[in-house]
Amino acid sequence: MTTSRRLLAALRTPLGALAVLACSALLFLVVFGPLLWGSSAAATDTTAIAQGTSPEHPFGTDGSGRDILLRTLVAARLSVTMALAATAVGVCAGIIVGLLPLILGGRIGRWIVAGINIGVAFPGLLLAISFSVILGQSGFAATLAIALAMVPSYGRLTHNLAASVWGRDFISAAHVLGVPVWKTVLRHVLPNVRDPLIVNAAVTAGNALVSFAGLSFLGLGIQVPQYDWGRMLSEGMSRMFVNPAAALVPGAAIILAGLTFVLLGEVLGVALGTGNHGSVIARFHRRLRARGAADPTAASAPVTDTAGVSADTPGASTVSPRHGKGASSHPETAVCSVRNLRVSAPGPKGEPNDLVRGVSFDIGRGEIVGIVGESGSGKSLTLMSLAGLIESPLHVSADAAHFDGEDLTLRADGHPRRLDRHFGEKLAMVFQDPMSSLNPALHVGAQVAETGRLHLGLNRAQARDRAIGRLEDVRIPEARRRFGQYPHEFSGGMRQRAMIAAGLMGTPSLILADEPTTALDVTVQAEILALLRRINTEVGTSIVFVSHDIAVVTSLCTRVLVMYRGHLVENVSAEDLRAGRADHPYTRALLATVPTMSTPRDAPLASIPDGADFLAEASALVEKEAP
Amino acid sequence: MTRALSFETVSISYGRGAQTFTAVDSVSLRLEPGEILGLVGESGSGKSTLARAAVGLVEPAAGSIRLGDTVISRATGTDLRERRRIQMIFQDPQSCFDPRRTIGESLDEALVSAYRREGEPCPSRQARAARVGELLDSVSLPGERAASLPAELSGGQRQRVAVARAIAAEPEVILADEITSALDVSVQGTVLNLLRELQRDLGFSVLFISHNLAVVRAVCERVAVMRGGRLVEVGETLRVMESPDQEYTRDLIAAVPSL
Repeated sequence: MTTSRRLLAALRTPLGALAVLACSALLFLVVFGPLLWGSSAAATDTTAIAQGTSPEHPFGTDGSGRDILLRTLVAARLSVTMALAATAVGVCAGIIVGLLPLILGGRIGRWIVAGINIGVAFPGLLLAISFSVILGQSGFAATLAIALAMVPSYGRLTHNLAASVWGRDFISAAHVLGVPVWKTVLRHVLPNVRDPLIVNAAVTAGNALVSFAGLSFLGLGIQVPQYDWGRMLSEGMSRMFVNPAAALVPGAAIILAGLTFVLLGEVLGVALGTGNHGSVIARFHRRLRARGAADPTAASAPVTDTAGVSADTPGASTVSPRHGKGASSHPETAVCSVRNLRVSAPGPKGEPNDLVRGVSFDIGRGEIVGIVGESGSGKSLTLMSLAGLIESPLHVSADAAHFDGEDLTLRADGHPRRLDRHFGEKLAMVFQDPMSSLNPALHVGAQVAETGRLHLGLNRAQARDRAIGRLEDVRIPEARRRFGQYPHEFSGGMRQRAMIAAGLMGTPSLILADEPTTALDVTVQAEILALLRRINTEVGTSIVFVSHDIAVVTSLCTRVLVMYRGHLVENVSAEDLRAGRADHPYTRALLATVPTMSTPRDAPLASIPDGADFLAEASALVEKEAP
Repeated sequence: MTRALSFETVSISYGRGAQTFTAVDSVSLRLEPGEILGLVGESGSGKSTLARAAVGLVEPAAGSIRLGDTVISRATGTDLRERRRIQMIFQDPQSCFDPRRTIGESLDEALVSAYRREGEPCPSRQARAARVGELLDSVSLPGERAASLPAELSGGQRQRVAVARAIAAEPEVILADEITSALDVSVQGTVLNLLRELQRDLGFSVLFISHNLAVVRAVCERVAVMRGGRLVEVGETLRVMESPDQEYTRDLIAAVPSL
């Protein structure tokens, strides 16, 4: 979605509309306030000095008999423009200071970063007050003081954002091409950190407004005869008990104007795509989407367009295992079986967009089943939905799902009702990146043992003993000592072993593995594959192994499911696959593209061209055979 | 005319004092003009670091790197410009293009840098746009792709554009750092065939870094094996794959899963 479209969408939410309304009101006051009421707000009236609320003066008058309400409206121009001017200067200076360390590099760069860090240690308002005292008592000095006080925090923000972009490959590419550093920074870094900086500038403007009012309140900012909200607040405070409105009205103006800026930041954040997921508007959108996605597809009822989809996708839901030795095709005896599993994501207009399109299969006891396919084929989503790990806004539905003889009815949100208690006991999961699936702040052993305490009802000592036993089972040397180590002290392969050990705390009937060896070196990969094979033969655990690497899958698995664009196109024994016996044209094409140690060296490598559509090809084949 | 890229007892380390980590430990390796040399090893073996040193992304702590007779490590001035004759293609097609600039703008930047390196006057915008079209054509992408943002291209297409960006700089050497390991196997062939074809036509040499021995065997004439920052073995690909000298190489080959 483009930024302008996102902006329009953000403005259509209640908060967005409110932000527009508040900003226009503020803009109107800034532009027209002094023109409309300037003279009447300045008119002194000696007959009405320091009066309370009256029909002529709804919020009373000040010490010179001037109307509080009119003065508050007129003061908007000075308060807001000064705050914006301070923000503009402070933000620009902050961005420059934040980018300089990258441009200058080396020792000077490090000194600048150290300077920023020292500056951030002082509270912003304290800095503003100190600068203001040094620079003298005037509106201009106060603006400059606030701008200067903003520089360290904004510089730090810019530097942090820029440093995260600095490590990316396109910066290295520019360096290799010989693009000058300052050009790289302006051309590649700044545009990529722009959005969060804009959003933060809006919020910073709100803070500047409050700080400015604070300085004026202390008598450091705007001087008589000019007045802003801070000045009015300080004048009103002395008569707080005579006419509270004299202090409360400018105070309320400060709060409302500050909120307007924060609101603007929030809306910009959504529009620019930097809004964090906890923001109010993001939550509102998620709820809307979730509602939209949940409505058309009720729990386990068949989806209305199922018939249409499976008709034009030959074999999508009708693929049955060929030559599947030991593969049970009966849902009752299978460890796990699903019928017509679908996963959909809401499209840009809320219409469901199918990612997994009606997949049915059984996992027999003691089987190792591989799921292969290229990225985006839906293989990981299929695995995640087996584990009940699909989160909103994605939506799962299935005609039937069984795990270990138990019927898993899906709840309205697409999650299986009774899967949770199987986790750790009968179902284990291994993810691709063991560094992110293990908590870096906790001992590895504690995380392995946790499964035992949580799901098996063991006490601390029992869980510890069993965890050490399991770590030994997966061949982690010195398991007792390793138990108390942190994940970063483990190698990649050992972390993956520890994850598998955690899965083995119970007696799982099924291990779900999502690309468990993709992040590992080949020699380590071979060890993990051997470990999984051993668990399978010794304990009889079934394994579903998702991978993009068809060579890994055929070397480990007994049966292979091939997925293509959300469809299950092939369900074949690994033996047949190794012999090149595959039905679907996609499987055959995929097999041909895998380079092996006997691939001819002079001929071009086989590949699948950009626009190939194997679903169409397969249906053409079926039609040809039919008459 | 292309020149050989030679690493002469290059050592590269990170960190200071007691925490010094030696990523590359006195490696000597010569990439002959016009050859494709495979560089294999496990993660942490130092193969990427070695390549990054050749383009100046890290500087060697000891030893020197030469392009022909010119020393390009710790280079300044005109020698630094020589280093631009070495280009690198990165592993991750997600992050090797500025997400905010179109493919055409990224290629244009490479062209402009090449002209500046040669000290030639930069041709007009139209002439450069035509050259960008030719570059895209040489990696079998339609010229309209110049207006696309990287996000609108598939991983394989992006990696092809990365090849185009590298050849835009008229390189003598291309360092290909795991260029297909983030791609699906179905498009891997396209990218590798393309690189080989261009290498044959333009005559640059390629240092082909990969952990996939089957791919290295298919693409490279010679192969070098690294382990723990040291060079373990160098030789003709077929000789190394069939009768490796070192036990470590044998282990690596044995671990390759086969269909």
